[in-house]
Amino acid sequence: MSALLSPDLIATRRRGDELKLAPLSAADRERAIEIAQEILYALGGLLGSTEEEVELCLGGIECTTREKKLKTALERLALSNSTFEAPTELAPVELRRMVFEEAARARAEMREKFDRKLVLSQVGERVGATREELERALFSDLKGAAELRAAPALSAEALVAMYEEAQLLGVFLRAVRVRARLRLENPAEVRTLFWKLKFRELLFRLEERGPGEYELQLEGPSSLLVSSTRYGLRFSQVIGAVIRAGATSLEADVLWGKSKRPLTFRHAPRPIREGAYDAEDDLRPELSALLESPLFEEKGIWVARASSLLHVPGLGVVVPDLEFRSAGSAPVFFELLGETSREAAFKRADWARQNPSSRVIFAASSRLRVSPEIFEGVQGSRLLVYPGSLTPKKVLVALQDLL
Amino acid sequence: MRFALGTLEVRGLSPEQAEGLSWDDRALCHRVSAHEYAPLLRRLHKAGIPFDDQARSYDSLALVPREQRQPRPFQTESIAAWTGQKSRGVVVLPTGAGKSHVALLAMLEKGRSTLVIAPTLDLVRQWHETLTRFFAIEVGILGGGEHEVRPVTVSTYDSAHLHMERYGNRFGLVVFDECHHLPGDTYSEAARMCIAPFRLGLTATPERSDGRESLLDELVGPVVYRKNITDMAGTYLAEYETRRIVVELSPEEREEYEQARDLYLNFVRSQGIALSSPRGFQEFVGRSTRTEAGRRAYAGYRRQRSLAFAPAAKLEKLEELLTRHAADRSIIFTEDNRTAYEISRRFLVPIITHQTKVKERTDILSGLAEGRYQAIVTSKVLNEGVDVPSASVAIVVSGNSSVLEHVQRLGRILRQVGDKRATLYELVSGNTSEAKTSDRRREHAAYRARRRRSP
Repeated sequence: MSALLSPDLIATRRRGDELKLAPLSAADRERAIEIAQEILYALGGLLGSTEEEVELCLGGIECTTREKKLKTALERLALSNSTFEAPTELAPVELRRMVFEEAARARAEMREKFDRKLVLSQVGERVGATREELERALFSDLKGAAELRAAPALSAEALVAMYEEAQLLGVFLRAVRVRARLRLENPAEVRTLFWKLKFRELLFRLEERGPGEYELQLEGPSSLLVSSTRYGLRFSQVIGAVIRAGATSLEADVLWGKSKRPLTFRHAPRPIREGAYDAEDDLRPELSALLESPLFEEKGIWVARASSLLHVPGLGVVVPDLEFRSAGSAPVFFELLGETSREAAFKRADWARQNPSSRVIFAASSRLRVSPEIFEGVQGSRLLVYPGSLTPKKVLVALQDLL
Repeated sequence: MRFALGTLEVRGLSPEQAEGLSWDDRALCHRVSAHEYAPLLRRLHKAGIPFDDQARSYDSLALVPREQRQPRPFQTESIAAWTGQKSRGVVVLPTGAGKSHVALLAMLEKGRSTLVIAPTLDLVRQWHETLTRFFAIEVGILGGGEHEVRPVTVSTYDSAHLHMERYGNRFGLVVFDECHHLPGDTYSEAARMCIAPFRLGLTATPERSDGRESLLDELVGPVVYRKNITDMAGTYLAEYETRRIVVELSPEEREEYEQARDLYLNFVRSQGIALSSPRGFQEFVGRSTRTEAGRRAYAGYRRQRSLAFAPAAKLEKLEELLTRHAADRSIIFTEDNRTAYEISRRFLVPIITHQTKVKERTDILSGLAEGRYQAIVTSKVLNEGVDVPSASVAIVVSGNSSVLEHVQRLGRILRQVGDKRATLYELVSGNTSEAKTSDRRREHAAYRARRRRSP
């Protein structure tokens, strides 16, 4: 459960060229928890109320002018974690059609004054509802008319913690570039992080700095030539996980405020590891299709998620997606390249040339406009350029000489 | 040079040759927005720099019209003006005059893969039908759950923004329908992410309240041809008249209105805010959130506004007009959704707002066209892009001061069908700020010659 906050709800201050989040003091936190308690308590008592009514009631919770931003942010987070549903006993769209058509007929045949009550009563008789029920159901599918079905299952402390995380994410969403130092305990954690970054199609570089120590350089949403909401959403999904699991320090170059002033933001996460990057199957659909294809098994080839890390100069740590094995032969790794960087393919070619014993198939869509010729003279590894979509058959052909 | 995610990557230029281009140190190449394609080609040609163009991925098309329709003189003139400007520019014609046919002529003239971008799904459907019928070809659609790209494709602005990074090199001609939408922050990205050297903008009203219409020059091209409603009424558009009906607030409404307005204006005065300045209102909104007095002033502002928008007398007059025009097809316009829903509830007429789903919206519009409904109510979403030729009455219950919006609303009822005569009613609350708002929005030639004060 989480939500993003718009920049106007992020409490920051600037010191020179450095941007800082305005942290909650002990007194502020106490007050934030009080406000959160009031919001959650109010929501608990408002089950069945319309969204409009809920917002009106929350507006009645008192706060000082200074606390207004905090309260709005807490409300926003609480509402995004609540469940609203439209009352569904009478289907409103069909009901409207019946009512409006009946009204149009009545108006066309009208001799004196248009009789609204009569129209509603006539439709009510047909659908077995009273006039009052009809009135209530007529626009029951509108956004503000949805009814609160479940309040957030959160404590006030958890809502405030969510607020603090959302504050942090709000700053990172304005980043041009983020540099994070990470403590990753084992290769499995590195692989999962790598796949997560790759699955979200983010621009990044991961370098090993020492045993278990890594540096992640991640291009932020503001680094693009034109800002992209989609990149921002994908970025926010990853940066939250990076903060929660294993980051020892983060530094971001951000463009802040309306003038997009370049500032630096530093963050030292609390040394708490909430489990690593697991619980999510970050695999692109093309790769899932390879994993599930019966074709390989028929040919006596075993396919699984890869478990090795490669260190490619200029690119840092690279984790293959899959590995293929057959009886009596060494494994062949497989990496599906993205569609954004030809440089990535060139650097892999250099690496493969320097590592003739490597056995990796790098697969690239023809949309990347790279030629298999860049691997000319490379022994072991190769580049599979595929037009259209990647199919198990195309991979099988590429595997034939290697397995 | 290659197309990459809505940009052009250029490699192999010397620093002198690359002057003005941005260097991208991640991809080790120069990078520019895709819409710079045509100027960049001209620049390379002019400098005699040989290049390998891997960016262009669009085709020449041999389009043959299935219908032989004689273009109207203004349509021929507008195409001549457009081609005279390197086939980049905006044609301004009133709603209902036949802008779509200008685009069809442009497609025949250029014979290139074409993307037509329109703001609403209704318009996308209309374009799809028009292109399929006129050229007898399969036409692709992006948007509304469809995702099929063909040499001639129609898209919503939203889908164009979403997908242009992939398809921005597939079209040589882009038609931006209702192109006054284009200069917004998001949609302008769609125009920047495509390489199309030929660009045609179509609109009845290029002017925007934020003044960003000047961006159209960069994204599409300059205004190359313009005709107004008054140039065409009675010939290519229906004859029409506009009637302003002034109603009075009841004594109770008047008292509440004055109290709310005092609350609002006293705060404005106490803060020294000049509402007439370009940022005056924004300043008021900003300051009103900071103090309790400010919040009360803002509530006052909203209350006096809503009282002027829908006093009892307006709704009574509306009832009278609906009765008078029971045999006609009417569209009722409001400034805000609240009033629109109030009218829908009170008069039991179908409503279309941004919350109305496509299926219901289509049913309501076909209901109006078929005569199943005599009237529908809407706030702003039908200001443009809906073709209801049979509608002959527009009733503006409330609106803003924008000339653009008012002309668009008038445009809804002007398509010529037989000897149709259209009427636009404007209901205005007398002695309120709305009277001034009404004066401002009528500052257009379309309203000068055909006014009647009251019915």
